[in-house]
Amino acid sequence: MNLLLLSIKNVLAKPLSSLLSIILFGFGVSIIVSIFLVGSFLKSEITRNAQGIDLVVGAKGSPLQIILANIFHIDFPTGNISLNDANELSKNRLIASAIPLSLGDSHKGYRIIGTTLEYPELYNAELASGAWFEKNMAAAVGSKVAEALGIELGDQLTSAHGLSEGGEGHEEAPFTVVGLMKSTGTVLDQLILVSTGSVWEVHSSHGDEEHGSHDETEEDAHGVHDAHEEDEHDHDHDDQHNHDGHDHHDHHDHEEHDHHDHDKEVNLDRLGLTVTEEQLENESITSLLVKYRSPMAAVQLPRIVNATSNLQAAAPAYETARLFNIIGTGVDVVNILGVVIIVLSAISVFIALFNSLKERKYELAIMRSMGATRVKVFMLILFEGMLLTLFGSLLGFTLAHFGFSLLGNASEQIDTTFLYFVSEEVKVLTGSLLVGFLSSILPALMAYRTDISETLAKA
Amino acid sequence: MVRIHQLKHNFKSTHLTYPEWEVPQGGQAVILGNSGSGKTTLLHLIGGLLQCTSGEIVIGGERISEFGSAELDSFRGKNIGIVFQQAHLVRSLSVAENLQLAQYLAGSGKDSAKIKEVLHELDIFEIRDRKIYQISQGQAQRVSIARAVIHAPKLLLADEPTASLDDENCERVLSLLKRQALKTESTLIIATHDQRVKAKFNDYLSL
Repeated sequence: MNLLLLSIKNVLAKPLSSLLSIILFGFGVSIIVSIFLVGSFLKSEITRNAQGIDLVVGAKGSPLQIILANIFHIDFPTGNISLNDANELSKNRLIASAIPLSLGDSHKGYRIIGTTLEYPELYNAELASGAWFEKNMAAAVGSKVAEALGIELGDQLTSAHGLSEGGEGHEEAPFTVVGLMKSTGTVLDQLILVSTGSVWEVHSSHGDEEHGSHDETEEDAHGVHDAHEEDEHDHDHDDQHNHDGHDHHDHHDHEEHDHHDHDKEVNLDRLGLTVTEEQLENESITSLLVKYRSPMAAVQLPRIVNATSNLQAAAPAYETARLFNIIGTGVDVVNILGVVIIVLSAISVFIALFNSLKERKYELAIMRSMGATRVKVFMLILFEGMLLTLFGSLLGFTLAHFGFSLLGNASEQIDTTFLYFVSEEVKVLTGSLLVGFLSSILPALMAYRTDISETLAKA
Repeated sequence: MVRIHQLKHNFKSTHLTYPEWEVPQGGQAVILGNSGSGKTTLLHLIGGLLQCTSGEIVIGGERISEFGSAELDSFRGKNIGIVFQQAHLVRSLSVAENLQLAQYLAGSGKDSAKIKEVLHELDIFEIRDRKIYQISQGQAQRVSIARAVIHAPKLLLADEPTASLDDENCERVLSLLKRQALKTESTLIIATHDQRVKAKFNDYLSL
């Protein structure tokens, strides 16, 4: 028998009152820990996915939407920008690199991204097997997509117009899976990467295509690629030169042009694309992921971009900070709720100890008469309070981590595990033990000051 | 063994002065007096639960009236066993665990054999695993005696151990106390107003 064992037995001897204190404390702690877990997880997700991207340039619209659509791939894009505008911008000396993205199609709910090899390189992605997607109509598939859909090398993927499942399909122009990417822990895992030219091609007619010597582009590819939902589209693939619904550019009528005049290839080396002159004039992309050459660019470039009539610049750092500000108020309220519950539970611990002390004052006096020092009975009561708060904290941490892991199960976009820990949890644990200490110190002092003789004389 | 000399104790408006008294090693004595006479106070003074205002208390050669609070705690734990009128056992523990707690608090270390022996002697072995709320008053008192003698104290004190007992049980408790005291060669002092007790002892101090 020792003090710790005795305090455990004392706590167990009052199961209901102890359980109430533990549950209250647990809920308070779990709320606060959950907020830390989710907050820290979101921040690290954002940092990981926004790595190396200083600025996103898209069509005019909400900057936050541009960030969400083009970095995190969760919102719809604001629209398209013309390849010409993008190309002109990419020549700016403030830009170190610019990666073109073309969004708008998906395969079974997974987004198909037309881009260059720079994009997977941004996330240090590696291939698990196969090759990258330089070839036309070739696709490299993210690890989660491959896993979820059971995709293997050589499979054919039909792209559907629109970003959600059930869009109108482009059955006649399937992609061939040539590469499977290793998991990167970034948004890349949920994407299907193809070449920019392939996306253009899917949206053009395919009747007279000559697959062959061209790597990325097709001589006749000038189809529309509208990143908006498919509603305004009415693809008629039998029509060779369908470009209805293209809302960004005034198309001249292709029927009147001789294709071969536009066949001359142009190297857009800043974008890593090789296109025909016609494509340069007519095609569009969704956005550019820009990396600055110098910190100066952070000041000047967004202004330059926004001055261009069709372009909108969005800085991930600024927009995510803004996003956190917006949700910050809600988080604060929930945090206050957690603290209030913890304070309530501290009071419940205090009351539980105080009541049991009244009932047990003779017991304690007799323990003193049997040789227990003042310090020992002080420690006994303190242990009891600390045990309640310790178990409460453990319950809280378990609840928070369990809830957090469920979050990951509920959504494929987030990958959470039970064993995800953040440094703030140490602070929460220390804080809650401190609260436990404070709520038991007064009852413990009362036990310390018990007058044995007086108490026992009344017995 | 126990000697009091010019012992005085004041608290609030009560001033108690005790006569010279001595109980030899292994002796068995009674402090007799009506309520308010200061017999419980004297027992607490001898037991080291209370510090006297002036005078001298010597137990087994140790002048405990000079001891500080922590010294008293440790001396009490090692050398004195006290049986109170009410058992006041630790309710969250079983009978046997209450005895283990007594050993722990006395600092004598765990001794299961000793616990078993005392349980048998006081005829409470059968109920050793019961919780305190599951045993009778009489059993509880025997457990409290067991608790007081578990570390073989030099001095065994009892405060009104027979107050609420009928003659038969009074007899049993007294003989238990006497027997345990003899067995561990403890000096036994009982504070009581019960004349039935006085009849069983030769040595007594009337207050």
